[in-house]
Amino acid sequence: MKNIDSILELFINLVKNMSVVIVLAYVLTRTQAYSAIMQKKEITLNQRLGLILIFGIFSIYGTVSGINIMGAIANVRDLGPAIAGLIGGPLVGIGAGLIGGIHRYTLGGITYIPCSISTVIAGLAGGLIYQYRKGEFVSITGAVVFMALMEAFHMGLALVIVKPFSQILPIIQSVSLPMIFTNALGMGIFAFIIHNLMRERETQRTKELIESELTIAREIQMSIVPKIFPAFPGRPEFDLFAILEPAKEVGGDLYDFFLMDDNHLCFTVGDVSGKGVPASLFMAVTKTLIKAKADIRLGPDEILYQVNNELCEDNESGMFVTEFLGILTISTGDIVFSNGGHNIPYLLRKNGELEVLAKIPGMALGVVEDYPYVCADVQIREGDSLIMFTDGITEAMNQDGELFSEERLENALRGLEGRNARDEVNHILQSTRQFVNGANQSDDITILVIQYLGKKEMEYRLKNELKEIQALTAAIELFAETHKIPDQTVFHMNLSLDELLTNTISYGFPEGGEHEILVRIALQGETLVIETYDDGQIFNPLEKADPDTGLDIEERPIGGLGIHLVRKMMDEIEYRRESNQNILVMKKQIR
Amino acid sequence: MNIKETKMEKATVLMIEGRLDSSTSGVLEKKFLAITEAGEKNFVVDFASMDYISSAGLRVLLMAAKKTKKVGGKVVLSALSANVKEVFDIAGFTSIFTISASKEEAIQSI
Repeated sequence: MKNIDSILELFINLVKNMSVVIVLAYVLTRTQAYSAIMQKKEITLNQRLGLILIFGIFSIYGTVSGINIMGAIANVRDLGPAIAGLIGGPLVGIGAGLIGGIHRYTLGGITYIPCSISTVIAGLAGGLIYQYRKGEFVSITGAVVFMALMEAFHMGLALVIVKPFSQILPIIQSVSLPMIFTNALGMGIFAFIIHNLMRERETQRTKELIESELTIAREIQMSIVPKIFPAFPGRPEFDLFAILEPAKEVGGDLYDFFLMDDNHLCFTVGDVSGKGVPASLFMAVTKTLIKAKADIRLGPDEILYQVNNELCEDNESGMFVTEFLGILTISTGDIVFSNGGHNIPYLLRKNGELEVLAKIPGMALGVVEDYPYVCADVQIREGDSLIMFTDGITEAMNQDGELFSEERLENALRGLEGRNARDEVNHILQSTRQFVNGANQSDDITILVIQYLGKKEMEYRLKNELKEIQALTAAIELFAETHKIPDQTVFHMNLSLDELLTNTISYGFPEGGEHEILVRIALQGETLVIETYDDGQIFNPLEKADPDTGLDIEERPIGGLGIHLVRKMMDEIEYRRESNQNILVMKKQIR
Repeated sequence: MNIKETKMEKATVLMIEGRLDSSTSGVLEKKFLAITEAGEKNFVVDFASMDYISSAGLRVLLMAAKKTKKVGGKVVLSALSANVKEVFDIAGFTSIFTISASKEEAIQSI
């Protein structure tokens, strides 16, 4: 009975002590001092003193809560200083050890000397391990082994120092196992809690790292694609709009467009195979390569050929990119294009008919060197739109797992008539969003639309005879009808040209002879630009002063009215003399 | 360009058909001169069928107005289209001429 009782008592004490250890460990790890230690920052003197105090008191607690076994007290006194040393270094360990050791010393008893000494040594030893580990907390196994060895040493010390040997031996024999076991266990629990905390912090840091990586990837991607619209305000021959909506995990979509020269627009849409920062970097490289290789002397197939070879070189990542590339000849509406495995674009004709571009063969870029890309061409006319996209659209999924698919995209496109490029893009995006209805976006969405508006220009050459002016009027009226220029504007334009040309024809060629006058009219967006060129004598009609239109009949002079009318009907008018020609440039807003 | 001449009790009515520009205004000018020489001093110039006027035409009208004023007559214009009226506004002619909606009204006003 007594044996079981004492074992039970021992056990209960053990549990009590361990509980204190756990609470202590938990509270300790939530303090700032501990955060500082974990982050390897310098701990202040105050923090050091705090630790010494806490573990010193814990050491005393160890003594006080010990169990009396044959006159010796089995306890966890050494645990406090040992831990203090392990986490705070030799000074902290020794400090805590001194507090516990001195207290033990004052209690006296048969083992008071070895016990007090080993308490201090426990602190020192812990501190030395700290030094050895350069402040990194020792492993759980290491801590447990250390503590067990420390207690074994403590027992050994007692055997050596306390006399008579015959008295100390039985005490040590009964106390050592419990002492070693209890202390080692306490240390084990403490170390376990510490390691748990360290792992928690590591996980948090990794999570933050991943999130910042996503942010970086997105920033790379979005900073590279052109986002300013209208992209070419000085080129009313076409209307262009694009969007790129990155998925949560950036998927490496790209688009680009640029003028190769005055008459050629190069445009491209692509999709990199991977995700995250690697994909966005690959996308950046691809986009840059395309722009670097794009040369008016090369066809789109040759451009893709060269870009592909560059991408294949040093492509250890094994990533690849699908790419569609086209070149528009602005003056004619002719598009020549090549494809590297990308989604075939659609062509929405002005009358609402939907066509799909020729399905020419082509592998994604970055897979195999010297791949022979091919090209094809298509003619687009005024009002037609070329619609390019990535599979973020066709593979957009709703909550039921259905894909948006080409079919729904085609339906969405068929409903688009009389819209500009921006409206078309937004309509496609809306349709996709509506379908997806809140489900997660798994891939980047990219749409690029180019609508051809044609060159709204006419040129007319007339002889220097008054009767020619009427024929010009007829040509202007036809031009106006084609481009829906309002009647009043046409009237002003005709009258202005009539006045100016009458002047030129009547007074510009005093020596007579046949001369040619060139009239050029262009519609640039909402502005009409009207130019006249003649090689008559120097004459700047603008130099004539305006007539005073407030005068009475008798006082009104007969002349000067023509130029006055022109000035009032046109928004801007400028004259210059160049290469022996009179050049007049007039501008008028048509709305 | 055609000019239809109708001699009425109060005035001579001239209906212009077509364009009144630098090539055709000379015809109108000659007509005016001929009629004023014959002693007429009141005119109604009807623009119902005139779709275009340039400064040359304005000049002829101004000249006609001056001449008739000298002999105590007047020139009234009628049925100007919106575009033509605008030209008159810009040129400041709406203050110089009497403008009526139709040739009947114009004849009345003389």
